[in-house]
Amino acid sequence: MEPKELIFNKVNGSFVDGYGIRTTIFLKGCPLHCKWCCNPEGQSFQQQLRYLADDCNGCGACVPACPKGALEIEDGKAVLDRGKCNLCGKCIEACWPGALRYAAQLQSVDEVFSSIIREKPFFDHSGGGLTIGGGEASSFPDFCLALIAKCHGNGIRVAIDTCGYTLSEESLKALDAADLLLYDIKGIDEKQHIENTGVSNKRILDNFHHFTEIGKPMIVRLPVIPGCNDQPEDQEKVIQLLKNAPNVERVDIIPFHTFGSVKYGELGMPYPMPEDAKPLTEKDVADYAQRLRDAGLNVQIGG
Amino acid sequence: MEFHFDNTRIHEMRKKMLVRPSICVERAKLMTESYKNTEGEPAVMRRAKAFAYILDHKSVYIYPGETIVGRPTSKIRGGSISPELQCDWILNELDLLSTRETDPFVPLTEEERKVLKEVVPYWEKRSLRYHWNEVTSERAKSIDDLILGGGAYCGNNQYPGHSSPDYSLLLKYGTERMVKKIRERLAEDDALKEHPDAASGQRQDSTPDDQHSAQNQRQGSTPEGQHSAQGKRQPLSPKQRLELEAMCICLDALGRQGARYAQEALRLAGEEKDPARKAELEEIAHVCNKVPRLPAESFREAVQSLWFGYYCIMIENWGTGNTFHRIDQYLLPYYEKSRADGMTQEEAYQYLAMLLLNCNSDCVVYSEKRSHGFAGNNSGCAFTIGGVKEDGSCAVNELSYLILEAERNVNMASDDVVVRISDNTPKEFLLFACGVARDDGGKLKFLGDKTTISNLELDGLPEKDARNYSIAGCTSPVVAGLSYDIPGGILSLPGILELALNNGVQKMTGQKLGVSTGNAADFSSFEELWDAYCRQVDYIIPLCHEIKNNDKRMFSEYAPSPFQSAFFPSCIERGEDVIDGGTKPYYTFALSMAGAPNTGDGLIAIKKAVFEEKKITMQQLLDALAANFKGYENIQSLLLRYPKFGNNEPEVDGMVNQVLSYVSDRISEGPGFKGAHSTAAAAAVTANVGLGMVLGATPDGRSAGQPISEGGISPSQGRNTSGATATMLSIAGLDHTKLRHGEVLNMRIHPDAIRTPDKLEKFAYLIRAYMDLGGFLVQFNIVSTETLRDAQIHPQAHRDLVVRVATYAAYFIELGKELQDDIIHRYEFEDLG
Repeated sequence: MEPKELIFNKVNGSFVDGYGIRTTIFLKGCPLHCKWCCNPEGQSFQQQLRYLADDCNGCGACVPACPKGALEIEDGKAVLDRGKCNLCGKCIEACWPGALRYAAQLQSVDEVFSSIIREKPFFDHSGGGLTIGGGEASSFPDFCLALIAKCHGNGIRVAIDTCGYTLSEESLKALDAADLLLYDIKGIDEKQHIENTGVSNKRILDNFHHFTEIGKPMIVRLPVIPGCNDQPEDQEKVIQLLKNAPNVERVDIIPFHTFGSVKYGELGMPYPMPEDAKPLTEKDVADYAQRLRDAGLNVQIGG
Repeated sequence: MEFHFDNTRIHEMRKKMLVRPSICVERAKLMTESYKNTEGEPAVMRRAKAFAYILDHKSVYIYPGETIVGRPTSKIRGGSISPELQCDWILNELDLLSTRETDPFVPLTEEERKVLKEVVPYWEKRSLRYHWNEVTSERAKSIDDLILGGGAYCGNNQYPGHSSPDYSLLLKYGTERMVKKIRERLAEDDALKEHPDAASGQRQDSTPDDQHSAQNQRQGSTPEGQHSAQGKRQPLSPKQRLELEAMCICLDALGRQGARYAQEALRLAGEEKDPARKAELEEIAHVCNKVPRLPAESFREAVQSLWFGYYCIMIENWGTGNTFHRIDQYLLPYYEKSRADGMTQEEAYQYLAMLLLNCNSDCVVYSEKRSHGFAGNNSGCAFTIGGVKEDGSCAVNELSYLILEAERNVNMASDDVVVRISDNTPKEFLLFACGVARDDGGKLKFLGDKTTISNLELDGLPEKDARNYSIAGCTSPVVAGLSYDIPGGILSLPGILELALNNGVQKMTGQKLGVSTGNAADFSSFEELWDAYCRQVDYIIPLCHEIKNNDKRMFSEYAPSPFQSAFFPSCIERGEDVIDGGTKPYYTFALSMAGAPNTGDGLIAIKKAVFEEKKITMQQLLDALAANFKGYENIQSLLLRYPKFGNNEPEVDGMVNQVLSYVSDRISEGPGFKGAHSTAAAAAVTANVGLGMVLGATPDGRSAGQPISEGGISPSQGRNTSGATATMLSIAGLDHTKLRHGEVLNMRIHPDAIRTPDKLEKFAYLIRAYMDLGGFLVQFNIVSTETLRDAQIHPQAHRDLVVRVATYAAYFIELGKELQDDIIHRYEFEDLG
């Protein structure tokens, strides 16, 4: 049977996420839980209900629609008891303003591919293609392998955006099949990495060396998060790692931003970053970029 | 390519022109004086004499720093009123002209008011609008501005513009030789009448070198030519001879215009203390004593002659969208010659920049009512560059780059550079253009050769002529000196859907503008609704044709254009004015369709919500629309959630295409005045605001009174949320053969999205892929929402902020609040990912 997975977003005509003009799809589920994650709906492997309170007009249509009694109206807004919700989706059907919605859509490889193929002229002109992101794409090896095969069969190049935390052979195969990896390095210090992401980075670094060995083209992405991974000593270790990896074609510095914070609330999740977390100054970013460049790396600020 | 030119002079002049426009009453005054002296004469002679009288008596100013001189008005940035077109509003709005929100002018002086009070009454029963009112049916008038915006140019306070003269004739021959050729044509006719047999066969020899490329092909094949089947010329009728006489009067007047400026330059040189400027003024005098009367022999003379020709076209046809055509092609021989003679690249650049500046010196004075449809004080002078040559090879040259560089630094509202993109357009040139677009906040128009040329061929143009097209007005592909294509009005497609949903009645006015198609609540299928829509269209389109054809008839009978006609070899050959079909068979009238996205979005929403998913009944929908969704907020939400045009969703995109195709087919059934073809465009100018004001709530979820979708085929404001490529795919997928008069896609991009060289390159690929997919025109606003909001709060800090309004650009701060908001509400592709 054709694999189906939960896709929580698709971006067409993207100027980021790799070379050329790209379409990026986002698969739902990730083994990491980075504090600064801007796509929290990509963390859980399960379907979730998003509730956008700003879009609720308090009409109350969702209340009788819910068979579990998980919704009521208070002060002109729906209130959701996630403990009672079984994700049946009846309320979504009833909510015309669209305040209640699924976080992702279950889609087959064919469904995803049929919309991607239409973008091909833009890929062809620009040297772009499909980027599979997430979540963590390599957590869905069957889906990725089937989609990549389909794209390759139609002359579309594929990049995978990965955290590198893959434990299975199948997952590595999926990454191997991609034409380009967007590989995240979130820090070298293991203890700090566990604190920031919930997992050790040992496997990530091992895999990095594997891809260097086989010469897999790579754009490395460095999220720089104030107070989490922006210590100069750790950055120095990152530089050492990258400068010895000839397969790294470019390094993108991704400065911290808070665009995703609102989605935590919509999913009933706490926002893990401190309320007053500020982005890095332009100077800090420029300094880091300069040090990377001094090491002979091709650096870009932003994706 | 990178240029490092000194822009001091250009920036100083630019600053002086960034002022609120003034009203110049000279043209109205002189036109009236002349008309009073020519009572009883044929219209074409009265027009020619008035034209000459204006040119010979208008003020002559040369402003400090100018090297290319001449202005069509007495003001540095001047609007002209044309009471001969419509005069009933003028005296009522003398104060309002300076106090209104949209396009306000500097207050009129007492002297100017006096002039207007004297001249306006003369036109009361002589204006074109007056005559149009006499001949147009009440049924047609009833839809004017409610369903069809600005359908009659005589009621738009401007001439239809879109002039398509072949300026290369003026540069090559000068007015003296142009007149000589017309005189020869008349002399041949005399000879023919005296000796009908002797004259045969002479013609081939008489015009040896100036045959327009398609002219030869056409003479043999078209019955309209003045030849019998054997190739003999037919004698000219008195009317045809008059047309030719009128052309001569006009051309002679243009020839004298140079001398008037030469005289003024010498006068100023006599007073000038600065020796450098004194020398410049003497050089101006030298150039103007020569052109436009004599052939241009240098690049500078060519630019000066061109500018005289252009602004005199404006004086004859005061309107918008009078264009410069393929300026990088016909100026090239002069550029190459002067470069060989020692002219620097920078000198050439300065003349071009001055030309771009100069075309910001005029605008149309609209009535308060009209100002909403054409907001922005813009005269829309298109400079078409790039593309392919007649033989299909790449036409990009050094001048193409210099014009872009001039546009980068001038970047005012009226100079409008159109960049033709072909398969063989060099990447370097496209990237250069993209860089200029980014630096200018968008501004450039990008146009696809592939679709445009194939559409022109479908219209019957030979391939090599089609390849020679340029853009007139907003989006009309024309071939200078060969084809003539003028606009009609702007049709509200969602306005027609409203009629279909209400048995022919427009909600807001309560007027029955359409036909009875039954109570929509009784429709039992989507097909019944579609049928009702089609029947409303079938009823409305003939009324549109009546409005527009009567309008053209008024121009033919009362305000022909002998001066412009003198730049068309076919008009001279036949002694026929452009408005009378002198360019046939390449003569077209267009109607523009606005709001197709709202209509398609709305039809899909009804199809799904009422007929397929049965979430609401038709009656509930009608009640919700009638209440402007008050108390029916959830129905509005529901309607808004269905797929919208511009997201590459085949079903709704197909519905928009179905609407456009049906209406376009009805439009092209004609008839057109004097045998002109009828064509359709998808464009809205700024009538999307005005037509939205009179439109109730619509089934796509739009509230009553809100603007309808802008641009023609730009997705409804804020609804194309699936990426720039998805929007382009939706539009590229439309049937472009139904939109031969043009179509407009506006996109808004945040400047940060294309800041780096890498991203700018992707932007260039985006455009190229769109053209390859069959895109026609795309233009951008590359200004952030924050900047636009700040400009609303601090207008003076953003005096020169130019934005794409419709197909033309305008100073953001000169627009009314509604239009400013409309621009802000267009979807912004923020970081393209």
